Amino acid sequence: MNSLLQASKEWTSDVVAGWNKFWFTPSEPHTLSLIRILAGAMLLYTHLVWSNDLIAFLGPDSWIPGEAARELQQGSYAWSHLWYIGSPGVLWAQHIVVLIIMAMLMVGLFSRVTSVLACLITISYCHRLEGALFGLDQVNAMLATYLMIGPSGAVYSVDRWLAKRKAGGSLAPPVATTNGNIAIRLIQVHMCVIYLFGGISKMRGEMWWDGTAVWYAVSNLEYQSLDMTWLVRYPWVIATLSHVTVFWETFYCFLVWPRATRPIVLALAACVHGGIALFLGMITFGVAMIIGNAAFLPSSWVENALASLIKRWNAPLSAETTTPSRRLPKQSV
Amino acid sequence: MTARKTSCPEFPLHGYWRIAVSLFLILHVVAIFMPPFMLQASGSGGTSPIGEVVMNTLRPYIDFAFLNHGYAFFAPNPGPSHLIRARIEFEDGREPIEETFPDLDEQWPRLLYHRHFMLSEQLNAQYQPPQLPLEIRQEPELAERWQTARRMYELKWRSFKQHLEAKHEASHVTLTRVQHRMIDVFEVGEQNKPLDAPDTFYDLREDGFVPQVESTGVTP
Repeated sequence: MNSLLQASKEWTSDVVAGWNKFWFTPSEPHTLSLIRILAGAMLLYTHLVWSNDLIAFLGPDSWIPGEAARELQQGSYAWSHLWYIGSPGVLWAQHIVVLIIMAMLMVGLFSRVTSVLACLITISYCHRLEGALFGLDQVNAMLATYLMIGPSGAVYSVDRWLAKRKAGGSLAPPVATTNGNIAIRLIQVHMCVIYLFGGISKMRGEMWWDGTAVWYAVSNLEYQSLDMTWLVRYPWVIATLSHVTVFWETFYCFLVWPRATRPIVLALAACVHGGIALFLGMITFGVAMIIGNAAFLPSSWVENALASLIKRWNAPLSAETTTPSRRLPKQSV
Repeated sequence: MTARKTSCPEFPLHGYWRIAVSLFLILHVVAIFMPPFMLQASGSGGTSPIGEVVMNTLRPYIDFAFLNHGYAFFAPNPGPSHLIRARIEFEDGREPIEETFPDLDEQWPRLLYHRHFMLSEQLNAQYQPPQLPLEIRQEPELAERWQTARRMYELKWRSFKQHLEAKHEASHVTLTRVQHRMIDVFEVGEQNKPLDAPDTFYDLREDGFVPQVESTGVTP
């Protein structure tokens, strides 16, 4: 009995230690900051596109007017400031402010404030635009929510640049934080839930088993952005893509954690979502899912990769400024 | 590599704070998990009772944080597409016009086209027949659900009509749901049928009658 009690105590203590390690080990902000830039750009683009037909989607005579949108959400706890805006002028004014906030989030200006505002705005727009939403909006809202939790503007941001300038040109390296880790962990866990149920729901369909599902996806004219019907000559390719998709999605939540399988799972994510972006007309959704997958990139890897990219980018520029032959000839006095 | 600050303790968040944050994290993860779970945990016998209890408890948070999603992309099977054709009539002598959305020639960029596509897809997904279906007449709970769903469908339908009437300053707009059925491998590979072949489009009736077509597709 005592040994059973002892084993239970050890097990509980291991679980608590594992929980603490997973959620509360401080992590550096590079991955989260990279996601801020990419997700910020996607949020800005998404809201910019609403501008193309703003009044038709949000105005008083829109596809679904504010009052109808509220009624559609009846009985739910959804909320939106846009339910109460009727005037096109006010609508445009607030929309311009929204675009500025999204741009500020992307470049990392006042990011602690703009990340919270971006999250509230994104969710508010989604609750108002019920009926015109799809997967992109779900991923946008997810990323905006978690960006608000961590220090997403700690690096690669105007905030950092301003702090450095204020400090006279040198600034201590960014600190690893617990909330930064929690933000990244939440994105990771949320991605796992998305894929798990994406896979399970496909497993209930016949076409993912008989290997024809990818054919019916790529031959859907309304989705199609590149004609892939030549695949009809290669049924084994269609079947392979169907089976790989459903297994990859279902087992993503298990295989993305071990170091050995993570690169394969992430490479498949890039291929599947790249395919959706290029061939199924949902470039924004495909890219948003790839941004979500970036949460699995270690911060040190992101830091090194971006440092090397910046170095390469700067090399030709500095060579250009120092190569004598490229210099302007000295003017004679 | 830059020098790192290594002075932070292993878990800087201590005591009650860590417990409070842990409880919130558990609640949040369950809130992410429940909506797609409930979508799968339902069948002809209803929905999972335990799932309903958890879902109803967390519903305020799930709704507030926009977490109520099923994540069933192209599932359980890819399905046919749905469009909406509008016939727009005028009282001032202008000839009636017809437009269909989504329309790649009209809506740009692609994301805006997709928004219009979702309007027509989701209207169709919400369709309920105008008469209470025979099979649920003895089930008050299901009958009530039908009534709510039908009211929501009519609300959207009316909103679309009013939008187009206002946009075109028209006197009357007639909407028709159009289904573009899926084309199978044989039709494209052997018969060289184009994806936009006229016989792959057909109008859906509002009275709930579903025509028999040679479609292999299943609505997701």
